[in-house]
Amino acid sequence: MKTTASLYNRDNQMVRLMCMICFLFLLILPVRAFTDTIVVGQIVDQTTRSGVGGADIKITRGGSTLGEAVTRQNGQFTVSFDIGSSMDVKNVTLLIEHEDFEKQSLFLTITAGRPDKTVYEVVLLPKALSGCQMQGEHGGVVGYFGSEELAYNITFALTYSLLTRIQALNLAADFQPMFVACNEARPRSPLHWGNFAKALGADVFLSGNVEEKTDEKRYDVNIYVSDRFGLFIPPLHTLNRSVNLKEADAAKLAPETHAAILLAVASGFEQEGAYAKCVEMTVAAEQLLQGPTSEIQKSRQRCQAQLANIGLVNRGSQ
Amino acid sequence: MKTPGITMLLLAVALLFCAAPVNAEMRIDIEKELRLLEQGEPLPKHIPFAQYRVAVFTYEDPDGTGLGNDLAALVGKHILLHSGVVSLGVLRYEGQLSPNKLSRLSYFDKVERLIEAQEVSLAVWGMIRMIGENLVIDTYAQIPRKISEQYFAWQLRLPEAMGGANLQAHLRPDRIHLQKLSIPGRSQDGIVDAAKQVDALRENPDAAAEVKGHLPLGEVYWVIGRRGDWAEFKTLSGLTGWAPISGNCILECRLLLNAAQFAANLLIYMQDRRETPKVMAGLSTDTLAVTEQIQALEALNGNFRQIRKISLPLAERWIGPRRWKGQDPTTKIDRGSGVPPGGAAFANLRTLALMAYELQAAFQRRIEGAGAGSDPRWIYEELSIPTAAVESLAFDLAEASLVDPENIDVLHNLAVLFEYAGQTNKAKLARYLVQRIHNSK
Repeated sequence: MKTTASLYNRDNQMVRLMCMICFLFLLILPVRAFTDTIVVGQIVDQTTRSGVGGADIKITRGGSTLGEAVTRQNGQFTVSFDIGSSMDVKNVTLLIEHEDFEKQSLFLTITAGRPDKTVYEVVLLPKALSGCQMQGEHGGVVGYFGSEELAYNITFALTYSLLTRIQALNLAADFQPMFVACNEARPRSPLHWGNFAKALGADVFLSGNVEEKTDEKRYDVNIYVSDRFGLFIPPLHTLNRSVNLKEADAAKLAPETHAAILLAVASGFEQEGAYAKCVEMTVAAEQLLQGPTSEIQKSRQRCQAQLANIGLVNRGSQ
Repeated sequence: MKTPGITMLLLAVALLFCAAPVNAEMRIDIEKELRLLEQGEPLPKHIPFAQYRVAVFTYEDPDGTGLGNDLAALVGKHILLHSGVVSLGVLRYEGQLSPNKLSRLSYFDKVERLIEAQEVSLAVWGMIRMIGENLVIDTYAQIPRKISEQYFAWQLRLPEAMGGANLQAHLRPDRIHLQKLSIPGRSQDGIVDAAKQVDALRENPDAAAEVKGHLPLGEVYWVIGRRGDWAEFKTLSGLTGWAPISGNCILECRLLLNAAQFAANLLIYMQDRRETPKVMAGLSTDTLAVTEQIQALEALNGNFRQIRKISLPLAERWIGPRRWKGQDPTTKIDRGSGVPPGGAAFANLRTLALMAYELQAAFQRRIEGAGAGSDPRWIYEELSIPTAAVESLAFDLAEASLVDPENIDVLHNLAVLFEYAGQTNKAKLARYLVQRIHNSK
């Protein structure tokens, strides 16, 4: 049987519990409302994938700066800022500036004070390469060779040998690959060749060096070819021995190298869904070699499987 | 306003050209013509009175050998004097074909732009490189679209009983690599000398005769006579003189003229379709493919025995399990081993040959069994091939279309064959693909 005293005691306990919950809620609420939003990230050099130290980071919204930081040596940064007490979704801009790199910006979404990613990775393109980026065309960039003339000669030779082959297939000018010389694109390690291709939006990237022979006018030319799809890891290597840099010899590429470059261009077409063009590139590559290779066949089969023409082949269906 | 005198003069000149066969040559600046085209200006038609006109471009010369114009001069002059075409004009274009900052148009595409505007029959151009101690000379020919339709297109009309539609084929490739010639660098002087000789006009047909002048740039000149290895030229300004036909172009220089001769053979074929081009040692895989394709397609006009003996075996040299690989036993030209020049053109040719063979054989049987007075035309119109056989051919051709997915001839023929075979969805798809390609152009 319940007594009045025990009932009183129980009600009292309930009131105390409620008061405690309210107190705790009041305690938490101001803390949540006034805690800074924290954005964490890393700034990376697009060509070497190493961190960029000393980059200025800003978080802005509607023209006003909410927070600032400078990246550490390894490119990492943390910016904390106050975005207000609202629980709404808000957009802010992350701006990155460094004197050696092109400016970069990123839109971040902050929901109830929390950013949409735990860690942001932002890649920066070295300023020296800004004029070398492909503008959506297929093709390649011929980078540093130690001699601007040599890079130009390689570009010319590539353009001639590949374009004549491709144009013979009556491929429209808009789909023909182009090759540009960019002496500023100078990878420091063979691991970086593919990064340069990606950074410059090029299907393939060529670079290399010249080694002087005892006879002062003769050189060995090393040419390395890489791509943005990871087809050539490590980069393909061509060696032109004992050549005069001023002559066409120095810039020559083996038919196998030409075919490999066309395969990379075919991968570019494949990636954007232009499967007929992909097939045509593999045909051009095969004709350069006067016969097929397993790489060419694999690439072609992948693209053929996506062609509308495949609907004509199946004997079982109407 | 033209004066009566000028009108009379123009009439006289026109009559002169109408009365006599014309073989003329003229030199033209590439960049000047392109600028006019870009500005939308109408281009004057050069040597308009010639029935066939060929454009020969200065060979690209990135290594500065100085031979670009000399090679073009030799090739141009060889075509002019050896094609045997009654009425021929050679336009000698001078300038560069490689891409530049102003235009992405280059090589075949740049040539196409100029020759389509000039409506020439054929273009020849090339590239010369100094590789080590050797001169490497590439020579190309290209056939404009209009000319391809006019001279290098074939049709096979199916009988009414099969729907009466046409199966079609065009010569592929129409952008042809004629030759890659590697000759010792020491040949350079010989080429320059030979080119000088063919441009120098002498008093008499004799290498020791006095030089009266040179064939001019930007002016028409004609061949007005021949004596042995010499041709007599006359320029518009009235200069006449003799220049050698083969001249000093001997040894390595002579090999270059094989490419020029192939181009000349294409013209001869255009003039008289009975003589198909002949391939010579040292020419490219493309020339062998073009030669055999033309021979095979021409034989389709013959009886079923010719189709079986010529068209089918020639097609099967390039495709299928009996494809010939590596060095050709007769010409020593490398046939390669994969997709042949022209993509699916040989597969298309094989399809036409098999259809033509079946129809011709059936026609022959019916004719032999028919009574006197039967109209052969009606016999042909009543012929039909079993749908299962046509369906099988269509599927074989469809497989070939996978290596050449935008070949209009192949897709058109697939639409016709699938329709007849009762594969209406596939016929519809083939027609849709043809339309899509037309729309994208």
